[in-house]
Amino acid sequence: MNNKTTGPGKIFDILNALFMILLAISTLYPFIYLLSLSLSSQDVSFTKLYIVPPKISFDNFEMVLSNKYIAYGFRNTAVRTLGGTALSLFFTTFCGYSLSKKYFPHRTFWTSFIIITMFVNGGLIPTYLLVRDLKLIDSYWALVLPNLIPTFHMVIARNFFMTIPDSLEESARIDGANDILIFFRIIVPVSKPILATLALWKVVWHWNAWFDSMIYTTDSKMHVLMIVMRRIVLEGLANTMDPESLAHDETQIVNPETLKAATIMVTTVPVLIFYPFIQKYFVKGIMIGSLKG
Amino acid sequence: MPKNVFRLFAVILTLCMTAAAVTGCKGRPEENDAGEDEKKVESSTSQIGEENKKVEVKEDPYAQYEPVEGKKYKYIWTYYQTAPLADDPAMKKYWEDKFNVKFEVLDMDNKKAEELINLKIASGVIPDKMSVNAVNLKKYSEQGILAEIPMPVLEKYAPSVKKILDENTPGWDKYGRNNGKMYGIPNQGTDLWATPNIFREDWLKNVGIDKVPETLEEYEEAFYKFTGNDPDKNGEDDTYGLSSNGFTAIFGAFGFIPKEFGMPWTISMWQSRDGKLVFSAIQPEMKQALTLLNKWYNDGVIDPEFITGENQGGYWAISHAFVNGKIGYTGRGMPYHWWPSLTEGKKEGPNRAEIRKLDPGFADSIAYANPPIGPDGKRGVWANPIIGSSFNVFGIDMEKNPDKMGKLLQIYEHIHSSYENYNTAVNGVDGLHWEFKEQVAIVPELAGKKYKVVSGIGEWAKGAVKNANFAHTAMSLGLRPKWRDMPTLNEDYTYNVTHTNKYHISNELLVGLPSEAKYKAELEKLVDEAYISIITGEKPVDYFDEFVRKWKNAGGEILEKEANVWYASLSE
Repeated sequence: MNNKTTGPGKIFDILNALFMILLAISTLYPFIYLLSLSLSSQDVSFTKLYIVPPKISFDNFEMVLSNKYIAYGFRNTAVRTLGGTALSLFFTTFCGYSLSKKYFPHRTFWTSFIIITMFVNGGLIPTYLLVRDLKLIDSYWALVLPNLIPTFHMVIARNFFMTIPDSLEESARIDGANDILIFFRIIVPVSKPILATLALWKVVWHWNAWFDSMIYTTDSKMHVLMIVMRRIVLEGLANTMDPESLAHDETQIVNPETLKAATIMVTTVPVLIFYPFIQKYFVKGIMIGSLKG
Repeated sequence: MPKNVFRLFAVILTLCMTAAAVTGCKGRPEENDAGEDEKKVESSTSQIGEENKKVEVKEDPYAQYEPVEGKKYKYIWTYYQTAPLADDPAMKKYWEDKFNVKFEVLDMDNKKAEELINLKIASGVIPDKMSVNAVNLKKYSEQGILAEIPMPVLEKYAPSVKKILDENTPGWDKYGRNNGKMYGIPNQGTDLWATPNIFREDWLKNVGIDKVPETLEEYEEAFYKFTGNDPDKNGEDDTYGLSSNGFTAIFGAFGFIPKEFGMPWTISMWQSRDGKLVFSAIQPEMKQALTLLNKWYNDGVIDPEFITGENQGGYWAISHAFVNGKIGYTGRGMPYHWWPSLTEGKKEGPNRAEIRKLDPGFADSIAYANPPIGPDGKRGVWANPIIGSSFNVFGIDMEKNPDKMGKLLQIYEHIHSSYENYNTAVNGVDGLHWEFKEQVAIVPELAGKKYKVVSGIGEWAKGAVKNANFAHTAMSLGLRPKWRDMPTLNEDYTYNVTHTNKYHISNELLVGLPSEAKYKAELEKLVDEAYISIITGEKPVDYFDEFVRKWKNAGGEILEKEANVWYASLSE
């Protein structure tokens, strides 16, 4: 087929390739820029542009990794990401599976009942009050429970389960399996793509979430990685309103750009490494889940 | 199927509505009941209060503010935090032991402080001490969150605080008020928060100018030579006179500053003129300034990239255009972003440090100038208002328990009563966290005089460590005691005092206007559009008159009236 492409088709192909290369470069460039910034020593000026830093040093990474709040942040983010994703996956698929069954009583009513929450929600302050009154402040539960079953994920899971032929379930039932056994032995093994997709979404969501940690945890040791990163990156962005430091010490001591870049690298690289391994399920999962039910 | 779904939705909706109606009906009377109960309680307490007053009125109407001996007071505390609170903050313990009080700190990120405080307030936790701006002071006091601070009480329990306010900022008590009641003790800004005027001395020399420019004509001459005479001697025509941050001083030479151009968070300014508050951007003098800038733009003196600003990301105060040798004059940042390293081991200002990485010779040839004198002898740069930008307020709990306010004011009195105590609050304990070092002044103006330098010991030298340990800003009212202006604190401060020009123009509108939310965004856009298109010549200079008309019709006139209602209330 390729050797047949001539004339306008070929020009189109070339332009297409060029365009895609440009697009790839423009997406990749900021990342490379940050990487090179994070690897350069602090006396390199970045008011000029470099791809490879003139002087390479790992001091920035050393400083970032020795920061105790980064360590706490990693711990907290790991706990909420792993625990949160596992719990979320468990309950989301349970909910989705029940609602996918045609014999589930008042199925449409319950589905709509849950879907409404996608459009109408309580807002920040009522949610905060609820979390506070449930005595979840300063615990990991405050980060995990409020978004335990994302409606959208549940709907995707439900739609996927609806595509699984009923006969699979029936055959198992004839063999004497109960609902729970059917779910774990029959349904879960054939649903790997959708589980991987949901897990990926949830992992990335948990990894990036910071605002909930900021409002639900009052102890800095409970803050997640993203808050620590945010603080390091934003510090010194606009500190003219800091009345004391002006007269008393070095107002200009802000985190150097190289240190900020190293922090960003440290906090984003884990997700970047994780992504490609699960990506093969990703497209498949969405495509299947998006079937109409 | 769709029919079923619709029916279902109808059912759900009716269910929801009935539920809402039922709970609503149930909820409201309860609230009312509670409210009435509270009122009853309040009125009964106020009756008690009145009875008490009747008895004590001859002695002192504010007797209830007297702290009770031996009682342990607890304060819910917020402060400007630049670092998370340390595990066992040294200075928190110091104050708690010294005054037998307890501080419960709400650990908050200062970048989101307002949002977090609102959440806390919504959940019923009202901080006993907060720092708010004028808009929030009005809002919170109307919501009944703030305690009134009666002047006689302040005078009795914290006379030093009042004295500092009276000395530096006479008339200060007009600002923190709402409906005549005082709710806030204002922060005092420093006049160091003014934009600098920075010239490249090596460029000036290269184009044959020996004296740092002083008048607008001299400025103009320097800009033209920077553009045309190849000041960097590289044989290429790649230099300009100024960019966006240079405009501020040029406008200032005509007496008004519309806004600080080139800064992302800048807002339009209001200045007084003939006893009234006027919107700076529509003053006829600005037309003259724009005519000049337009001429400069046409002659290639202004960096054509001025629209995107001098800073290209990273730390906000850095002027990339200046650092990279594109322009020879800037007003970016504050004077302290340009200071040199005065003592060993101290860092330079970020701009100077950035320049040193590229060209050490250039880093040592930065000249501080005064703003240009305009045709009518006017001059000035943008400066932060000395008073009124933020206020220290106390939570309503302090009004309900006046003795608690008395106690806190006593603590503030202690801190502001002497230099040593003040230093303890800011820097920590003498000998443990900092030490005095006697030094000879390096700054020429103070040559020969000996003065003392506060020097942090070890980790405590860092602002963030102090901040995390409840020193630094934790117990600060943001005041400027007299000793802060004396060269006793540190050499950098002294250097700043002598290298900051004294010609300042500040925004004089210090409150939020009632209709601001409705018109402001649109009006700001109008100003930006008009100014940029006139400077670049996209529209003729005479478009200015049309812009003024447009501004007035788009709600500007209403804001003008509201601003003057407030302004008149100041002189009542």
